[in-house]
Amino acid sequence: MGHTSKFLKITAMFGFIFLYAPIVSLIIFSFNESKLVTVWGGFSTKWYGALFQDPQILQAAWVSLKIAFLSATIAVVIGTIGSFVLIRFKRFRTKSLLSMMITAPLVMPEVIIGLSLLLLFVAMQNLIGWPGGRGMLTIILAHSTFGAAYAAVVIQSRLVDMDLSIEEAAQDLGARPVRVFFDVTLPVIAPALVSGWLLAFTLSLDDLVIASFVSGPGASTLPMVIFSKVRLGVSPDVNALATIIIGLVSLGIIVAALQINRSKKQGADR
Amino acid sequence: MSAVSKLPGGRFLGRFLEKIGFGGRSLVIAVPVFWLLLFFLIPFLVVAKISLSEAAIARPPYLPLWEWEDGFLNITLNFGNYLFLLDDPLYMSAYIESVKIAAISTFITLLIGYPMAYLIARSSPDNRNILLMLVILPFWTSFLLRVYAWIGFLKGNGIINNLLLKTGIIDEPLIMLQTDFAVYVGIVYTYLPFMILPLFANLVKLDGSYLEASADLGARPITTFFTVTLPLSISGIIAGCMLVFIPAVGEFVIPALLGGPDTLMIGGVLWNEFFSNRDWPIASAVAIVMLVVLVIPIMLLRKAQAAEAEAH
Amino acid sequence: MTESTSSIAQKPWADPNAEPFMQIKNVTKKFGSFTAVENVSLDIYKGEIFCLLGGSGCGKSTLLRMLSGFETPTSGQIIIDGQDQAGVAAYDRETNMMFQSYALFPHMSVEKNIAYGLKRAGLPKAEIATRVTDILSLVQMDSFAKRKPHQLSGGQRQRVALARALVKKPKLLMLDEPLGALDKKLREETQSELIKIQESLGVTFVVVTHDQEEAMTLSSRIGVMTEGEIVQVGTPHEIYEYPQNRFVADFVGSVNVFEGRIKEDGEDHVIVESRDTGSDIYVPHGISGVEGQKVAIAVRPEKIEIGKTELENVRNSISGTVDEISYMGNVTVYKVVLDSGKRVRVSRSNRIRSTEDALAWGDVVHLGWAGTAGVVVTS
Repeated sequence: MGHTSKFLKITAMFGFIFLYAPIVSLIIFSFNESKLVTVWGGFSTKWYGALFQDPQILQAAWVSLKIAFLSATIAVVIGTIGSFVLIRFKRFRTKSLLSMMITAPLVMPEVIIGLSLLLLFVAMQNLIGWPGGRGMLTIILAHSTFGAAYAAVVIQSRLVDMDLSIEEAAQDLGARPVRVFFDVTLPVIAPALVSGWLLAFTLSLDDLVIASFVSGPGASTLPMVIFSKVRLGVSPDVNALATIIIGLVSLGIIVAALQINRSKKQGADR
Repeated sequence: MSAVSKLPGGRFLGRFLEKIGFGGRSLVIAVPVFWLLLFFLIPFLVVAKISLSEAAIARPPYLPLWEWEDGFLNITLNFGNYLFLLDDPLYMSAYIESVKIAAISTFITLLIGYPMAYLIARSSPDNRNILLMLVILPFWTSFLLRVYAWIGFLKGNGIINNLLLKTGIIDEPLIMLQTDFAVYVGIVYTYLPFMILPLFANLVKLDGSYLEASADLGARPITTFFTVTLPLSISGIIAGCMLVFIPAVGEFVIPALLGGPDTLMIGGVLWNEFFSNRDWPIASAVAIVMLVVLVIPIMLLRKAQAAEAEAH
Repeated sequence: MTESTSSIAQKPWADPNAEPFMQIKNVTKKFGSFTAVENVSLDIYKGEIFCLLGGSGCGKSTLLRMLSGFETPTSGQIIIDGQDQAGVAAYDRETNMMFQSYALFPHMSVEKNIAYGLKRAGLPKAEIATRVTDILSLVQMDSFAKRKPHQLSGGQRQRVALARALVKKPKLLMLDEPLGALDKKLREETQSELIKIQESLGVTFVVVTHDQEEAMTLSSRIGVMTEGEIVQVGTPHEIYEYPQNRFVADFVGSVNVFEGRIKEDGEDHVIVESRDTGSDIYVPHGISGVEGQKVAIAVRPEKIEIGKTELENVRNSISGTVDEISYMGNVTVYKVVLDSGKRVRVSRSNRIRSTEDALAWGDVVHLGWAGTAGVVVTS
C-alpha cells in the first residue's frame, strides 16, 4: 500500500496546485505596481483605488448584487416548496414531471437556457405585453429558475436525511400540516436553506451567458462588464476585483461551513 | 380537537375544496410546477417553434409560424434551418469538434479527479472535510475570473513562459494561449470539482473492509483497484463524467477567452448566430440539435444518479 | 392507587359485561399487494398496559400507526372511548405517541418540546407553565428544562419524550419500542418507573415491542403478533404457561416441542403417542381433538428435571445422552439427545455451586416432567 498512497498523494498535490495556482496568482498580481499583469513591479494597492473609481464596474456590481439577492431568495422559496412536495407527498399527477424539471436545469448548457428564456420573454411580450422589456426583471426570473434547481439539490438531501418521526410527533401533538411545516420542518432544514441560498446567490453573481441573453440595454451585470474588459486582454483592476470576490466568497464559505458543522453536531447527538 | 374543525362547516368546506380537486396540497404543488413549466419547459417549445420559422428583418427577427388568412389557419413549417445546418460544413464540424473537445477533457478530468477523490475519501474525517472544502472553494468563486486567470498564465509573456525562460528550459516563449490546448486546460480546470464531488460521494461509501478482504485473499493493491474499487465506483464515474461532458459540449466562455480563431465550438456558433448575425431561427435550430446530441449523455447521467441514490 | 388500577386488578377482560375502552374491529391494512395487518380485532380496557409483541415486520408498528392516525385502515374500525376514529386526522386525535427515536424537536428546549402540544390545544399560558413544571418533576427532569435535546443523555431524552406525550393527558398513549434505545441496566430501571408513572396517571398504554422480557414485565396483557395477525392475547402468565400455538410457545421463551398423535382423548386428560420421545406423554387437560389427530406437546426447559438416576414423582420420563452443556451463570443449559435423535433442552438453576456429581458430556441421563408441565399446542 505504501507506493499507492505515495502516488495518490503526489497526484492529489498536483491537482490542488492546479486548482489554486491561478487563483493565487490572481491575488498576488492584484497588488502589482506594474500594469503588466504578469511581471512583478513592486507592491501597490492602486488598482483597488482604480476599481472603486470606475463607475461602470461599481454600477454593474450593484446591479449584480441586487439581482443575486432577489433571485436567490425566490430560488430558495421555489426550491424548498419543490423539494418538500417531491420528498414528502406520496403520489401526485405531476410528480415525475416536476422531478424532471427541477433537476434538468443543472445539466442544461447555459447557451440553451439563455436562448430559450430570451425567446420566451420575447414571445410573452408580444402575447401579453409582459415582462415589459428586458433587463433586471428578466435576469432575476432566469436566475431564480436555475438557482431553484441548485437549491433544491441541497434541500432535498437534507429532507431525505431528516427523521420523519419529528414531523409526525408534531402532528401527534395536535399541529396541522401547515403548522408542522413552519414549526418543525423549516427550522430543522434551515442550514440547508442557508447553503441553498448562498449557492443560488453566487451562481447568479457568476453567470455571464444566461444574463447576456436575457438582459437588455441598461442592465449590465458585473460578469458582462468583466467579460467585455477581459476580451480586450488582461487588466490589473480585474485582478483587484477578483481578489475582493474571492475574499468575500471564502468568508461566506467559512460561515456556511460553521453553520453546517453546528447543525451536524446537533444531528449527530440527537 | 382543533378549533377549525369545531367550527360548523369548517371541515365541510375543506372536503368540498378537496372534492373539486383544489385542496391545499394541490395549491402547494402548483407553485413549483407552474413556475418551472413557464420558465423551463415552455421556453424549449418556443425554441422548437422558432427553429421552424423563417428569418426576417423584423422585430422579432422571424416570421410567424401560423397566420389567419381568409378564415383559414395557415401553418408554414420551415425545415430550411435544419437543412441549412446539414448543408454548411461549419455546423457539422462545430458539433463534432465540441463533442471531441468535451470528451477528451472529460477523460483528462477523470484521470486527475479520480486519485484526488480517492485520497479524500480515504483520509481521516477531519482531513476529509478540509480537503473537500478545498475542492469546493474554487467552484464558488467566479468562474469567469478563474478562466481569466489562465490568460495570465498561458500568454506569450505570461507566468509559465516567464518561468520556463528564466530557468532556461526554453529559449522562445511557447504559444499556448488561443490554442485548443488552452481550451482543454480551461475546461479541465473549471470542471474538476464537478468530477471530484460525485466520485467522492461514491468512494466514501466504499467500505474499507472490501479492500482489506481483497488484500487478505491475495490481491495486490493494483489488482484490488481494478477488480474491486473501480467496478464499485462505476456509477460515480459515469455521473462525474456526464456532469463534465454535458456543460463542456455547450461551453461558450472558455473557448471565447482561451481558444484561438480556429477553435470552433457549438456554443460559440450559437452565440454568434444570435448576437452577431441576429438569425434567431438558425440559433434555435442549433440549440435543438445540441439538445438532441445531449439526450444520451443526459439519460446516462440520470441513470447513474438513480443508481447512486439506490446505493445510498 | 387510583380507581382505574384497581379495576385492572379485577381483570375486566375476563368480565363479559365490562365495557372496552378501545376497540379494534376487523382491521386490515394493505400496502399495495402486501398485507401488513390482517383482520385484527382487539379490545383494550381503561388503565391497561397492553403490549403488542412480535418480530420485525409482523405488523405491530403499522397497527400502532393506525391507532395514532398516521395510517388509515384499508378496512375495519377503530373506536376509542366510544368514538369512531375514521376520518379523524392524527392532529385531531386525543391519543399521543412516544416515538421509537423519541422524535424530540432538535431546535426546541426541553420545556418548549413539552409545551408544544399544549400550545396547539390553545391552553392559557399560565396553565401550560404549571403543567409543564408538574410533568417535568414527575419524570424527574426539573433541572433540565432549558436544555436542548442534544445536550441530554439517552435516558434523559426518553423521559422528555414520555413527558411530552403524557402532558396532554391523552386518552391513549402509544409507545413504540419505548426502551429499545437504552442499555440493559437502564432499561430495567426505566421499566418499573414507567409502570409507576402509568399507575399514578391512569392513562391507558399501548406498547409495541419485540423484546419479550420487556413485554412480560410491563404489561397487563400481551398480544402476540406474527405476519399481520394477532395469534394470542393473554396475561403474561397465560402467554408463557399456556401458549396456544407453536409460534407463541417458541417466540416467548424457549420450548421443547414433541410431535405426536392423540392416543387417548379423555375428559380431563390426553395421552399422546410420540415418536420423538419413544413413549406416551400425559397431559392433564382435555382438548377438542379426535383420536389419531396430529398434535404437539410443548414443555419449557426449566420444567424438565434431569438426573443420573431414575427420577421420582414425575408423570413423564425418558432417557438420553448429554450432548452439550452451556454454563450461563444463574442456570446451566443441557442439550440431551434422545434415542429418536430428538434434542431436548433442559435448564437447571444453579442454586448451589456445581458439585462432584455434576453432569458431564456423554453421561446417560434421565429426564422427567410433571403432568402439568406440558401443554398441547396446535400447529
